[in-house]
Amino acid sequence: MTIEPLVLVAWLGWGTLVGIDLVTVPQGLLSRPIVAASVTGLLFGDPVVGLTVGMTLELYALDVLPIGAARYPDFGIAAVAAAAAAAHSPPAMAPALAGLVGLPMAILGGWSLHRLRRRNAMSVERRLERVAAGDARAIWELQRNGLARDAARSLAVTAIGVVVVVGITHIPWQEFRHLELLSGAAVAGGLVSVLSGAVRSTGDGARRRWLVVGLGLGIFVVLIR
Amino acid sequence: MTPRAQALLRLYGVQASWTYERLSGIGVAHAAAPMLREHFASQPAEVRRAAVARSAEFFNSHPYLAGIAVGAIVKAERDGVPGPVISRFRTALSGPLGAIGDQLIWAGEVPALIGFTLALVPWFGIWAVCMAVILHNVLRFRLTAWGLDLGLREGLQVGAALQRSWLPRRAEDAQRLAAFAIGLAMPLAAWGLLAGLPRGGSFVMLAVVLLASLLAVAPATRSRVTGLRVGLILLTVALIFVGEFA
Amino acid sequence: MPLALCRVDDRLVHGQVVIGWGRPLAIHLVVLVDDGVRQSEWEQSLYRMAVPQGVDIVFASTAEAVTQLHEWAGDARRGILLTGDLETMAALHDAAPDVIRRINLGGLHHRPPRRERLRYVYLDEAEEQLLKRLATDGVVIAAQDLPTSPPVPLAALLA
Repeated sequence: MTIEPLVLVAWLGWGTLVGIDLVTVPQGLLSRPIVAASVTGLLFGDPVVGLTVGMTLELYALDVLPIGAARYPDFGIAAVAAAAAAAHSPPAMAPALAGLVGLPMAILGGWSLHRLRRRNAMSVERRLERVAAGDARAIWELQRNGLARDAARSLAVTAIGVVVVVGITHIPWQEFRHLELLSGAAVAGGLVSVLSGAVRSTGDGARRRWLVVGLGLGIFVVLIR
Repeated sequence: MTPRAQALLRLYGVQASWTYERLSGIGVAHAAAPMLREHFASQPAEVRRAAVARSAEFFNSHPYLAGIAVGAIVKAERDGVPGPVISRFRTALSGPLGAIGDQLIWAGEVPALIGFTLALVPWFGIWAVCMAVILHNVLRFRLTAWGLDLGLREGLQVGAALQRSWLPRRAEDAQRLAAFAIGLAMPLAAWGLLAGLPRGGSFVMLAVVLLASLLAVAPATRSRVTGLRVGLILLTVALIFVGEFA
Repeated sequence: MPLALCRVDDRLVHGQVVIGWGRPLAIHLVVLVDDGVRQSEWEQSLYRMAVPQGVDIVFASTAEAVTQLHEWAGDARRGILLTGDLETMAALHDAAPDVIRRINLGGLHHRPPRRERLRYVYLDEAEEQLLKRLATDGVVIAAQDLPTSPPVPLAALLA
């Protein structure tokens, strides 16, 4: 696998943007796997593979409710790495690579976010007296440093993704049989996520009925096609 | 740029220095600072600093609704409400704004948009994704601006104003729409992603999915069985099997 | 029907309560016991706005709650009992140990002189002693922010 310098810069830049979008700025849906992976697919000239990876990881991400101060995986940068891996592998491997590359990367991303929050806390601790005294400059510094730190985190996780992708592309997939099992496993895990998450978060009553209606309509559309 | 416009822009980064101790407290102070600076321009620096310090205390809400708190705090400061009352008000706003925002956005608008996007991708491809991003950002901007202006208008009365507003009703509507969209997306996404899987394999997979989903929902097992863990275990088993047949 | 969850959370009603726990437990009643909120009409209006449709919220002072705990525990609807601090929950337990048998620590955030036990549980010495006393009384105490997170028993929390 050879990467043009310009493509590598775009890859790292997009991964960084996706990473900071999750929590820091602008929270504009860029970090959703379907968006992150689709754009990555376009970057490598294979939008369909990007969509496939994005759909697979989105099944997992739909279970994540970033409520309160909960910890959660970062599926955005993971989707960028998985889509890049899929774009350099046989097209049928796309859902499998979403799982094989995307899931561990999402866990790594979530862990890095946790570490970032700890670093932010240390940064606040150092300026505690100035913040308590209402120093607007200290508050600005904290915001600026928080953004810079998240950008560095996102860039680092994206760069790890680049290394993983380069390694993945050396695997001679054509020498293996029953590769469809990997895709099946990745999608099955995603379906468990989305189904259990939907049952949990809809609760009882009208929302549950709307879920059943949607599910019924979806099955109907699949059957008539 | 007017102080209101600056606040609006800064609200996009309200979680930039998020910590487990103060959550988004620093971000709220950063967003409120331009309007507080304007208001306290002719007063002693200590008064302004005290207001800035109050605005940086612990705060936790949905980021898209933090503007309601920023606006309401600024209005309360303008009205000369005593500092301790503002601090208590700020704390009290925190949970409810989180609760309603989580219902409207994280459990409503976002899964609804993503669900419909997944359902429409087989027909519209990447255009479905583009539409979702544009729609979300238009809605988000309007919500942020509406919230900031509501807070600036209502101050301490913002709770009653929110209760009268469209927000609680639409939060429920958004969640129903999300439930429908996710229901619709599940079979369509599975069908799109598993087109190559043999029919027998599909039945086995369906059984595994249903069983694991039951475990992921059951009170006794839900903190241990998650979709992510199931996915990783299944992938590991599949890798071993595929390796055997290399 | 017994109260499905007795939670201590200084954010009181927020997303983790109404969605995170409220949905899987099929909650239709939230009992918020807080002396400050009980006396503040505008705070009550905020919390009323925050609960989803189909969920009732009741505000009570500690003294009122002590007399009504059994009534709420006998309510046909599944409910969450919520306090903002440990002292209030301990007072409720002392008044009705048969109702408060398990306590969920959902969020006690940083303030001096508390020290971090979990990322969402910070405790000072007096609070730790209070928790130990409640545990000795037979209350099962665990920290758990969401039903899908692993619960952390008190012994592990204070270790």
